Amino acid sequence: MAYLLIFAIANGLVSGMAIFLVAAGLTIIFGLLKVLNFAHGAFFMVGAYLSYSILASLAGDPPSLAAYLLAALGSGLALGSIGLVVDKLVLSRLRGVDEAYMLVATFALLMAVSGIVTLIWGRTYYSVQAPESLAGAVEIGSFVIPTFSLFIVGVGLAIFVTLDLVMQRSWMGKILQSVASDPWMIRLLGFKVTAIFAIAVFVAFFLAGVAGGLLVSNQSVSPQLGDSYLMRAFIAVIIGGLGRIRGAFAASLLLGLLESLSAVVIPNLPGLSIYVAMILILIAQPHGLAAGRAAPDEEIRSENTLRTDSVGRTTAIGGILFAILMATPLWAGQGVLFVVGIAITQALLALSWNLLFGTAGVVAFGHAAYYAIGAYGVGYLIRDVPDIGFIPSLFGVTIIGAIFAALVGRLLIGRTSGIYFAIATLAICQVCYIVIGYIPALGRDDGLASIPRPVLNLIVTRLDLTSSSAYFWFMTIVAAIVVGLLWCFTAGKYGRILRSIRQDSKRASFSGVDVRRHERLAFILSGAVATVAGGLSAPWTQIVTPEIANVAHTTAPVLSALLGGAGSFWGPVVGAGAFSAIAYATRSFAGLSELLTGGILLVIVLLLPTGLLGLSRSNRIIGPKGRALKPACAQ
Amino acid sequence: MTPIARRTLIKASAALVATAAAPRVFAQAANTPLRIGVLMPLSGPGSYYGKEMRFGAELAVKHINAAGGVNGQPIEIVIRDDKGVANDAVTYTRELAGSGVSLLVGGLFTTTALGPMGILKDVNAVLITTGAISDAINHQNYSPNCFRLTDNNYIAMRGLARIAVERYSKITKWGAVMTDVEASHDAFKKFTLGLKQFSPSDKQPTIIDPILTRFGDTDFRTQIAALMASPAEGIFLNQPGEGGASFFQQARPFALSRKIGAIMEIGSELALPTTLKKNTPPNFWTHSHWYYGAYLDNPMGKQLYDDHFAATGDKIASSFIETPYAAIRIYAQAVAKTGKSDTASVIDAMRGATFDTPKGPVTFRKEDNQKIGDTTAIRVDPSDDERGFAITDYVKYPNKDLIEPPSPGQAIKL
Repeated sequence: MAYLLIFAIANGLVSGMAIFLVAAGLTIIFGLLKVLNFAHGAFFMVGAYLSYSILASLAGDPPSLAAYLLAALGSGLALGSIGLVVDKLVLSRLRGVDEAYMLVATFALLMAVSGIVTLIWGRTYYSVQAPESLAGAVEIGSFVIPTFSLFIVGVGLAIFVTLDLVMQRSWMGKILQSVASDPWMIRLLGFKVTAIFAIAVFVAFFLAGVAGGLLVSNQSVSPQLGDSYLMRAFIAVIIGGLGRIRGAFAASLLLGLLESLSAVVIPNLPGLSIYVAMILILIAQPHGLAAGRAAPDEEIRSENTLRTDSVGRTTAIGGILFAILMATPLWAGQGVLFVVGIAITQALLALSWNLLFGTAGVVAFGHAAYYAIGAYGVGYLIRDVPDIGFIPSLFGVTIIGAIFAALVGRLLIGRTSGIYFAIATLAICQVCYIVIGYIPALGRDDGLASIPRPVLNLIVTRLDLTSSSAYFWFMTIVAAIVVGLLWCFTAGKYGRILRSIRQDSKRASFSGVDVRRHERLAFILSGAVATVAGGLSAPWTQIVTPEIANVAHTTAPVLSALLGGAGSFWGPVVGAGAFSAIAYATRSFAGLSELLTGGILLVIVLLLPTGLLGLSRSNRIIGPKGRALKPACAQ
Repeated sequence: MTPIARRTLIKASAALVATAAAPRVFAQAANTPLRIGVLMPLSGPGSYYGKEMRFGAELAVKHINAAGGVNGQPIEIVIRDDKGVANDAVTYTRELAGSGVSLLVGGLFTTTALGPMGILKDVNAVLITTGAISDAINHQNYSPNCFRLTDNNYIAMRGLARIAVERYSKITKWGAVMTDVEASHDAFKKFTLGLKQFSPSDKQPTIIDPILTRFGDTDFRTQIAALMASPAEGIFLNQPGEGGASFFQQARPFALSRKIGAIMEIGSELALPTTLKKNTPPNFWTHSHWYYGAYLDNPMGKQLYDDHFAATGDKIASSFIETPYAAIRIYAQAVAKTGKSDTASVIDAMRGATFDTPKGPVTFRKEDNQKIGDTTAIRVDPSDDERGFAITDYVKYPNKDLIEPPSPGQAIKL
């Protein structure tokens, strides 16, 4: 055991250094451009593929050390150049907008880049042998330390020291930090801010390419490579304190150690430790290890407040939508009906998310956890404990979801905020995702299959919902009731208080509003609605798998709300419908779904930053001069 | 003309019209393709296998149509990308069934099989699964509308255990490296059961706790060190996808292959050696749905292998091309036999029946629709040629020697 613990500590440093190689570019992008680049992992992956192609076509097998390093350098230069194009087309348009919009746009970019990688390199995995001089091991007594591990530690340290020296000690670093802090002043002093931004982008993408090249023989190269590193690099950047190189370095090593040690100390719970650690760190140090407890000055406040329409207009839109949905089983085929049913649950989930974002200004990324509680809870009860009945099951599970939301709200709201709060909720969702996979009663990763559709016992009669049409109508009616209640909430007294908190929480507090209590209340309501959405979905899909709580699904309500327009009550509904329509329309383009969905989403987010409903209400999200949100540096 | 006479005339006219139109309708039916839906992961982590499946499915259509179709009717496949996700598989099952495509091929993974299985009766469709290995498919979650064309965990794992005992009798301490998923735990349970059953009573194996990993892991060195420190002499491996390749890539400096005398693998088949090339560990046995080399004396198997070679220039064919190929050929034989393509007739034609496939005759067990035929495993070792690995041995057992008793709706009693 002692041998394994010592080895785990040594290997944790190696693993942490590999995480830092990816995190370095990510933290530079945020530190200087204030853009959280979800696509960074995809560009790291492109770097690895480029390096693989260079080595496969130009070098021997195994390659020489010089060829290996040159290939990494070549990947870095290529990625740096790609980065300038990406910045021009995408990133420069995101500076100063809500964190949520940044994440949506860069998430779309991630999908599009992943799709392009699959088109170019296919779906095969590749393996690159390390140079012969790095392929061996150093043996110290009974300890075996792979030479390649020492190489990773060496290059990681070299990159960290270089970046730290440049940023802290050099003239260039000080200029870069000044631009990040006050671009207006720097421009006034005669510096070319645009060129300085371009240098920062080039360096960040160069680092992604170099990291891909240096780590190409550390593991296999596959279309999943970017995802594997992205989440850990993201966590390192967050708990290290956004934009702080030293913080990212320390956090990367910490994560590496945690992962490695947990494989020895708690081998039966793989994958859980880093998310639990992240939650605990953010509770103790709400803005990252390097930031202390004070909120950073640069916290971005959303300007995208939910407006409430008149009762007549809302009722008219809701009525038309309800009528269309109720008529759907009369004309739609089985496939279309199923997709529309899924869209209803996704629309409810997106509405629940937008209750927080659009009304209270709180960005959360963990709503899939409540959806999963609903789906698993109802699925389990109606399949394995049918005597309870469907309606009591749905009610009971909704209360559990609300209690869970209350606990999470109690734990996080007031302690942490902004993107740190969002990522903490994402970590909680990941914990749920992993824990579900541990529970045999929930079918572990196989999920709950063969969930029956219910027959309601209404004392005087029985309502058979086993057919698709009957359950669809039931689901539509329940969804309509929930949507109506949500609208009453957002348009009523509580909604107005939440909007005042969103506009200016300090002024609201001075006016006597208990800010935290109201934010927590909104969080509970939002969690309960997400739970209902999940609860309704279980008998509809008739199978529930852990994927409903993973990262892809937890971004779905965010994407739907922003695609449709978070400034409008009906925006999330339109977004969820649009997503379902895109997915259904592209079903025949098998294998191209990532590229098509990512591309379409990116175009919409960039052209219509106020969402699809922003087309008709272009003044919904406006900047200081009546234009759509512009980069902060341009203001 | 009396009313009766008028009605008679109308009936007679209708009959005449119908009679005149009949040959045209019949001709249309003959020319209207028999559509078969194929669900496979063409994006996401499972897409590596989806690519192979698509090749096999399209080749089956080409072969059947070149031979005149099914009773003169051409075959057409409708492909959907289920992304390896249960909800997508359910969506497309409903969509295809709703548009009249009720003969389905799919279920590469357990979840993408279990999802559609729950609704097959509801949408009046039939599914032949092409990769899902969970025992639940023909036990706890049995559906009369679902037919499994591959081995289940019980058969495949006991097959591998039998090889382990027969070929590596000196190895008595068995460990495992596997992703922490239900399928892995279930497979390891059946593997160790097999080891105990096939080992002589005076030489029972020592089973060591498995070393667990997760999908998406990129660093396995701590797990490798734990394996090196354990007494294991042979391992069961279920680390499919890119993780398996990373594991062996990182294991090289530890000289893992000097310690571990045999690796019994399920899940990745040739994907792992194809990626690892010369780094492929020796004595690497993997369960295979179809090893082409064992069936070159079978005309259908040889045709599939030859056409794959002609199209790709690759002398090694993945077994994942065979399962959708065989499934479509089975549908064609079932429809040809009955002359009907509705769900009930096709199910009746398949239940308990035997069909020709590239791996010889295959029977669907009457009680639970489980395939009865051969189970195969191949041994792969590193080689000095350009490919970096070679298939050096294989085993072909009739799976009726390994299969469990049928108990549809009930879990296997161990």
